[in-house]
Amino acid sequence: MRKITVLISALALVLTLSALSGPQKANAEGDPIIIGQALDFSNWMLTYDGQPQRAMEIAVEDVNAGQLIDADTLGVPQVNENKGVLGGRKLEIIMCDTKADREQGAKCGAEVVQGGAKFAAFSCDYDMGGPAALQYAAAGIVGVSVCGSDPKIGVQGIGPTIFTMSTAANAQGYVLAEWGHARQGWRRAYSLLDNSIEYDKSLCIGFNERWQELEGAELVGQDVFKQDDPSIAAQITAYKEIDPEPDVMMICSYIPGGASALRQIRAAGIETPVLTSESFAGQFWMDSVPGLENYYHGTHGNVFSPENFTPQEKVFLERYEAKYGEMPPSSHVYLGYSMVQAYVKALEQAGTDDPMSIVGAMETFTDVPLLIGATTWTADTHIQNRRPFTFFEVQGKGHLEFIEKFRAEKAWDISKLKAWD
Amino acid sequence: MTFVLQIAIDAISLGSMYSLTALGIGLIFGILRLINFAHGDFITIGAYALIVPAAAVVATPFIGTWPAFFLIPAIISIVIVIALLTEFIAFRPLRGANMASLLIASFAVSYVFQHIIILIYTGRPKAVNVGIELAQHIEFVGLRVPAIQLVAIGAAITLLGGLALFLKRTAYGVQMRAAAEDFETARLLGVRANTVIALAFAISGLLAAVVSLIFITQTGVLSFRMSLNLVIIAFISTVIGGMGSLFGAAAGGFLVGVMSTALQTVLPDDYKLTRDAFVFGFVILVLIFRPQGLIVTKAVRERV
Repeated sequence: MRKITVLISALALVLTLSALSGPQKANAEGDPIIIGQALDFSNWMLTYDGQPQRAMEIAVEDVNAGQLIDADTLGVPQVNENKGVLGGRKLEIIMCDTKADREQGAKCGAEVVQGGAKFAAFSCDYDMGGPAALQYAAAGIVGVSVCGSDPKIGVQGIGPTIFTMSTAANAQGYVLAEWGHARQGWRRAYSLLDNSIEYDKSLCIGFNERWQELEGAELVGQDVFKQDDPSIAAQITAYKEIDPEPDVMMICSYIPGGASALRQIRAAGIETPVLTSESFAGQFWMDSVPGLENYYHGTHGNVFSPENFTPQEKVFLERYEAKYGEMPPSSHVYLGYSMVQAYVKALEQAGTDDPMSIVGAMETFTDVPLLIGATTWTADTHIQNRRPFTFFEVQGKGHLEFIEKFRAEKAWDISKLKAWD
Repeated sequence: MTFVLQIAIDAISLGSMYSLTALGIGLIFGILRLINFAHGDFITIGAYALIVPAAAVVATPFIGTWPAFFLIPAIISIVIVIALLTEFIAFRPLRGANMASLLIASFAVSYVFQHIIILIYTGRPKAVNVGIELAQHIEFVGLRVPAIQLVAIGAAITLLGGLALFLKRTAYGVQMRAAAEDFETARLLGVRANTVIALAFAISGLLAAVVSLIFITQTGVLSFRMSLNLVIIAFISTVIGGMGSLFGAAAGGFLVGVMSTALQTVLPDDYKLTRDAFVFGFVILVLIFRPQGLIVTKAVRERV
């Protein structure tokens, strides 16, 4: 009898436990949706990956707390009050440090896929982010570069599930050329290319191409250097031979080598206006070039001039400062938040987290006003080709001063990729 | 004519920097048969010592704010201490190991240094403004050249001359040359290995510190990989010049610097992207036609 009682009790316990766990198993919808991050947390790519990574964390917290800055409202800061997505599922981040190492990047890509992510971020650059992106593409999950600007990041270069938040480097060249021509009245341009990464090459190709299409504009010289060159004296000597002096010097490089080149150019007494793009991110490097003047910089957005913040930017930056105790050093930060905004919008539109459905939803985005600005993706263009850029200048005060937001008239056509790739 | 003179100064100053770095590598190789890739990190550490050790995005200058009279000896001392510690901790236990082991050890040391820098300062590049007056251009025989180029050339001449005098005229110098020629015989004749090797590391530290100061004055930016290219070029220079020959290392450095600047100037735009391919192509030619380098020392000839 006692044995039967024990048996019945055990059976009852098993039934109770299975009844308790039953609804959770049946409702897989309640599981968190995992967002992967194969980013550089410790090496030189941290300059670019670090801020978007932090912003993604803020965005995920915002989604889970029902206070995501709404992607659909510009002008008035509104929030998406749904706690979680797809009927209350929370977002969760899993991360892996690529250490700006290609091999480690591939391992991180695989790790993130194995961790269950169906949507994952990868590093800011084709060269460094490519290995993780290839893993995402092979596994058929959605991979989005936080700020990679080489147009090979996408359908044509890696695979149909791969996107980037950024503007194509060639299109950045377009907007810089059009702005310099229209707003500064420059006509004679010189471009200096640091050919160590793909981004710089694409940027200068875009700038040179668009510049020569503009009325009365002329490319009077170009030269190359390498990121690691300890001296660009030979390039400076050659530049000084150009007569008359060009109206603008476009530098396609990144920090540290770009700052080093600029220091040498200014020290040589060359005061030609200098134009740079997003890769000269922020102003932390400006001590390298004391008394910098006539410096013009076009980038994704504004984190430097509080009086010109949009309402969305203002709310976001308050949250950023509250969480990290400092202001972000560059506008790349907006790309991370915008990535989560885009994912939430795609999830709501698709009604599922199935990667191909998400890709389909993202490809319908037309000028969606994310924190970073109007965002458009199409079936063959998984990168921005005409998003407005924000322009700044430095005139001896050691910091960037806001000029305006500007949108290029002509969109860069991704079919040109085939011509030189 | 002015243009040609200007290019000549650009070339010689770049050559000076390569030459000083190559000399630091060549000196250690001559005595220990160690190709010290960590030499580049000595240069990096010298530059990072200018700022407060911190992870902050904007660097706060530390030694970088001191007057040159204190700044230069401070940086030289720091780099010499680091070089001596490296020898004592990493390379002394490997005394007598074969060349391959020593080379791998130097990669390991370099890796450790770089990651210590990342740990303390993060991987983000940092700005430091030291000696901007020297980076400015000055009038020189009718040309406008950056003062730092003249400083680099002057430093190279002084240090090369000083080192030559030291090696020829002092007892320690003679011992070092003897050790470089034939280490075992020199020891049998009473040359103290530890002293000579430590001295070689101290001198290579001094050379690295000087390169570090010239480099950072020129570029104004710190990054943990800043010396990577420099040390590779310097290594190539020692190969061209002749492994084991100090004069060869210095001459090789000048040659690569001059060649690199000349190619940058004369190559058509489309080929400038491939400048380094021409430099490395020259190295291959040297290796084919003079496998022991342009200047061959007796020591190397005997050992091969």
